[in-house]
Amino acid sequence: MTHADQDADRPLLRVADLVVEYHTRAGTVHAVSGVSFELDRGETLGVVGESGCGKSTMARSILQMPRPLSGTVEFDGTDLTRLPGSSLRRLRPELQMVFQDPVSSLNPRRKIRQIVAEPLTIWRRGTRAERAAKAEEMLRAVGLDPADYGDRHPTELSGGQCQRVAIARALVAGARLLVCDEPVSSLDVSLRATVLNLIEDLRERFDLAVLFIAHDLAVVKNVSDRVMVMYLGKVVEIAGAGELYSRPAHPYTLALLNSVPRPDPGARRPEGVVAGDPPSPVDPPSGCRFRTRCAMANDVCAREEPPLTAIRPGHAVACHFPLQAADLSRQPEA
Amino acid sequence: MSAKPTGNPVSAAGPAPDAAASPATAAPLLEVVDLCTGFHTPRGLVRAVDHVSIAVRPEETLGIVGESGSGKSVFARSVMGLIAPGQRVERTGRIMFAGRDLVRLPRRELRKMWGSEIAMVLQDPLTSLNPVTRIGRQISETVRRHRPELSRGEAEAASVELLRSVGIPEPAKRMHAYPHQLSGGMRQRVGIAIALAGNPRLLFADEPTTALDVTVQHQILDLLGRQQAERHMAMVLVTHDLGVVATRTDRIAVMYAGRIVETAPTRTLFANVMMPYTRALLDALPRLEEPSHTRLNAIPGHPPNLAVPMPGCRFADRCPAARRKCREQEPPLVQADDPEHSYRCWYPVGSPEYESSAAAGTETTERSGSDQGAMRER
Repeated sequence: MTHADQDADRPLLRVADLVVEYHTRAGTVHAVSGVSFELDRGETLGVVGESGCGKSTMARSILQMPRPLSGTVEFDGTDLTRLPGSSLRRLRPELQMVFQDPVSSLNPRRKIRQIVAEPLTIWRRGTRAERAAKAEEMLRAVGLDPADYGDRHPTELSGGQCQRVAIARALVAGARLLVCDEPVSSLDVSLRATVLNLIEDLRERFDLAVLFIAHDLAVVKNVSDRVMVMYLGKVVEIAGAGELYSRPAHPYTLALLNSVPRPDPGARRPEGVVAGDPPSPVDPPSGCRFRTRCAMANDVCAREEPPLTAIRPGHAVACHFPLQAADLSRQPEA
Repeated sequence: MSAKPTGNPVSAAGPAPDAAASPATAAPLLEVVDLCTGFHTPRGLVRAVDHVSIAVRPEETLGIVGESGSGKSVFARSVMGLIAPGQRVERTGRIMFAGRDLVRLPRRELRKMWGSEIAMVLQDPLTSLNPVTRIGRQISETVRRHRPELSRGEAEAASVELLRSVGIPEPAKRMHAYPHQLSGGMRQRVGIAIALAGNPRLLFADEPTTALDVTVQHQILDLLGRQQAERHMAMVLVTHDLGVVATRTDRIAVMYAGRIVETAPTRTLFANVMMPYTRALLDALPRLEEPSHTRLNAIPGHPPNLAVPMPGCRFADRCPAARRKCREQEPPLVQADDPEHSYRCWYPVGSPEYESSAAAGTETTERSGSDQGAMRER
């Protein structure tokens, strides 16, 4: 199936029926239960959900750290789940990740230019001088002047600058898929904006596919083309960013949107928010996993699991009673 | 520069019901005058809080907003007396609480006020709760400290009631749990229960929801608001998130580099921002109403190094409208049209100087688009 002429239409990443489970003393944790989606070159897919919904676990299992229990992860036509370790390792430079805490993900004993050049050193790319030049180019691309910052150590940099270094390191060896796991959650508002702008610029410049995980819905909307909402290991809704935020069809999506604090004192405080915490992924509810916190749930929701169904082109929702446009306009008045 | 249009009908329901709770004339419960808190470090004296004066009225909610390093947490902790003068800490000024100056109060007297007069909720109770003691015992301990006349059993019953009042399901069962067995939201509820055990008149909440999900954040902020109204308590909400304070506070003080740079009633502040820093903070926020891939207005540069004294406005290096005067003379806190609104700026938002510089600034960033020069930090 790897005909060269198909390469162009094929999405860069195709995830199908991904399942991740952990065995603990308390029982089996159903962390990710059958997630499927596609992601294209130059596209950003945002992933939102509460802590424990499996969004980070999903991202890591796509990168095969650790490998998922079942499902397939096709990266440019190659199924990563079946790839032996050595071949997977050779693909690593193309599959990169940026973590939440930028300071702890950088080696404090190394200089910035060494940190950024390290992937090239590992892969023995070019000569020493070429690697140094490439690292400097990458530092400039993330907006850090190598003359100023190259010889500093991570502790001498702010959180936002460390996150730029982490991004430079991720991209230096030619990443095509960048997984960002809460990349701006530990940053101040002012630095957050710079890092988000930077991710946008680099996506365009290097035609990156970006999987962007965050719990802040406004942040996710800003960078994403499409957004996927996860709840307890399942995708409950996926749609284009504009569509999802203006016409959410899953009650959980609406509840998440209603919970976002608005920087506007005139904004109403919405009532349609969810109470309590998500149930334990060790023993997820029968049927629809969200039903225990859903105001609209009835017997069907407990009996049958709603499949992820397209309600409009590019907009799919897993709910027996998806919200209609009428529900949404009624909601704010309440 | 005007407020961006929002997707929902703005305030059709009128002002928030609790907005008028405390009349502007009420005598303050807490009055901080010229508070300075400095730390002696190898690099010199770092003035984390520099001549801060502010009052909190009974039942009022004051929001303190700032970036990391703005001094907002140090301010809250110095008022509580948790950062107290010693070899490395210098604290001057007056902190009048219910007629007494906390700066001069002996340590023993101050300790008596913790919990019963002033209490605090911290960012992550996982670090403030004892990990090897059951929740129930930690709360009962606090309850008995405030009401020594209670028997063990009575204190336990009171603790269960407290847990119920902060919305913990099956509170009697939860009494036996250890902190790590609870979710972040539940732990924060326990933290709030312990803070409320002594029925304080003033509650400091220092980034109480920063570690939490949006859904849980919403629940916790609702809970704090409800408890505050029921107990007629004043609250100081310390946060870096302007979204959190917008609908949850009566007044806001914006801190930058150890100084209050703007303070106003919440609605006035959002309607009529004067300080370029406040404007920049608001403009840097990604908004739900804006389409995807909207370029954000980042604030260039960094907050200044507080160990190096500087003339002039502390925001000058990052301000789009800074002029020579800004770098030479520090602006005083001046009053705006609303007598409750004051700010520290020579060329405030709306002044011709600011508007011409800001307009020039936006043009250049828009033009350069994805060009790297625009995103470089200095």
